[in-house]
Amino acid sequence: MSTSSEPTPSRADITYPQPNKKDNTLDEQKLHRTCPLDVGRHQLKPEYDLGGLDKLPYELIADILAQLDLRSLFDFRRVSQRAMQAVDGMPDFKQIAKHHLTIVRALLAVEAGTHLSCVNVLEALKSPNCIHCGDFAGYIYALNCSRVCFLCFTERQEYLPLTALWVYRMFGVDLSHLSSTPRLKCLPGRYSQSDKPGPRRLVLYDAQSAKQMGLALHGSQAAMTKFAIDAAWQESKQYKPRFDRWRKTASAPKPRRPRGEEKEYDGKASNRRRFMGVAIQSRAFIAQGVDESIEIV
Amino acid sequence: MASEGEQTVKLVSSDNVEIVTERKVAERSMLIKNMIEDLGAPGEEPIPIMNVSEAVLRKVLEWCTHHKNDPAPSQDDDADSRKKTTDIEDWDQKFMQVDQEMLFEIILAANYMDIKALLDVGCKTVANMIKGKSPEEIRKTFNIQNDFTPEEEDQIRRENEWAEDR
Repeated sequence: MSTSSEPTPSRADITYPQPNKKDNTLDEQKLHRTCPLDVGRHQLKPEYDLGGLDKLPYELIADILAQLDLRSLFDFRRVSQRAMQAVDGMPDFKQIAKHHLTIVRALLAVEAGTHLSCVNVLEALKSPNCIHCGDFAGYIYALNCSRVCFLCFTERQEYLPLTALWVYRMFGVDLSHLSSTPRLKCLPGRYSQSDKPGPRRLVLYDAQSAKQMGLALHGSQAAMTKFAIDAAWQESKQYKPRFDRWRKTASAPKPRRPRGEEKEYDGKASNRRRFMGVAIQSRAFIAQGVDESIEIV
Repeated sequence: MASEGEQTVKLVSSDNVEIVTERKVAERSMLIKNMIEDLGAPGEEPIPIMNVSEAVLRKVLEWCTHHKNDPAPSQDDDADSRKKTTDIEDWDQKFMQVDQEMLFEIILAANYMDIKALLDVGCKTVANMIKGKSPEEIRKTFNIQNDFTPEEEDQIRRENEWAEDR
C-alpha cells in the first residue's frame, strides 16, 4: 500500500494479483471452524503398544495405513495414542497435514473421505495442471480428487454431481445399487453470487461413477437409454389417472407433471451443485509462499 | 532355459526343515533369486531362510506356486498397485483367510524374502480389516488398549467431522 519509496517486491507482487472475488466453493464454507481437525494439537504419551499390529515393523504399518481411505484413517487415529502417533508419522500424511489441511477438511466435511486415500490426495496436490486441458488449475473436485480448472469443472458433464433421482432418470440405477458409488453430502451454504443459502444437506453422487454403474447394470449404452425412457414413460402413464382424480375431487394437492425424458437444466457456472464438491488451492498459495493453496470444488 | 522349469532348489527353514521346490516357484522371492544367481549351481547347496519357520515357508511357497507364471512386476506396476486399494484376487483372498498370527507371519516372511506382490496382498488384507470399522471394533480386532479418556476420544471425533454449530 505504501506509495513513497520503492517497496521491495514481495512474492505476491511478482505473481498474479490475488483476485478479489469469491468463488463460493466448498472451502469457503468456514471449514476451519466447522471441521477444525485435531492434527498436531495433541501431546501424546502412549502407554500401550499396537497389540497384534506391533508384530510388524513400523514401515510396514505405515504401508498398511497408506492403503486406508481418509475416513478410516481418521477413525484409526482415535483407537489409541500409539495409533494416533502411527498415523501422524506416516510420510504421506505428514506432508498433507503440513501443507494441505484445507482439502482434508473439505473431504471429511462432505463425507467424501471414504473413497480417497492419502496417496490420491497427494497426487492431485502435486501437479499444478488441469487433468483435462492441461492449463493451470486451482480447484480440486472432491469426489475423485482430481485437479480441474474453473472452465472444465463448470462446463464438463462429469463435474455436475447428481441427486439419486437424476441418477435413476439418466442411468436407471436405483438407490440399492448406489451404496459403493462416490457421493458427497453437501454443506448448507451459499454456492454462487445469486444463490440463496440452502439449509439442506443434499446427497449427491458422482456422475461418472453412476454412469459406469448404469452401464454395468444394463449391459450397454442402448439398454441403459431404453430403460431410462421406459421408466419415464411409466411415470407419465401414472400421471394421467392421478391428474383426473385430482380434477374430480380437488382434494389432494395437484400432481406434478413428470419431466419425461428431458435432460436436466444444467446452468453450467451458475449451477450451485457444481460448486458443492469443489475446493480451491491457489489463493493461499500466493499469500503464504508455498503451502495451503488448494480450494476444493 | 527350457530346463529351468524342472530345476529344483532346496530351502531350509528356521527350524531346520528341508523343503524341495521348483526353482521357478522359489524365484518369486527376490532374496532366493539373488542367492541362486550368486551361488551358481542351484539344487546342490541348500538355501537357508533364516527368519521363516516351516509352516510359514510352506504357506508362502503355496502362494508362489499359484503365482509362478505371473508376469514379472515392472516399475509402473508398483505405483499402480498403491492406488487400487481394495481389490484382491479371489484366490488370494481365500489364501489370506488364516488366523491373525499367521497373517502377520506371512507378511513378515514376504518382507524378508522380498516378494513384493505377496507383501502387497498381505498389507491390503490388514487394511481391509481396519477399513470402515469403529475404533472399538479395531481395538477388539488387534487387541489394542485404549489410553484416551472417553472425553478425549469424543472430542477427537467431533473435531474431525463437520458440525454447523461451534
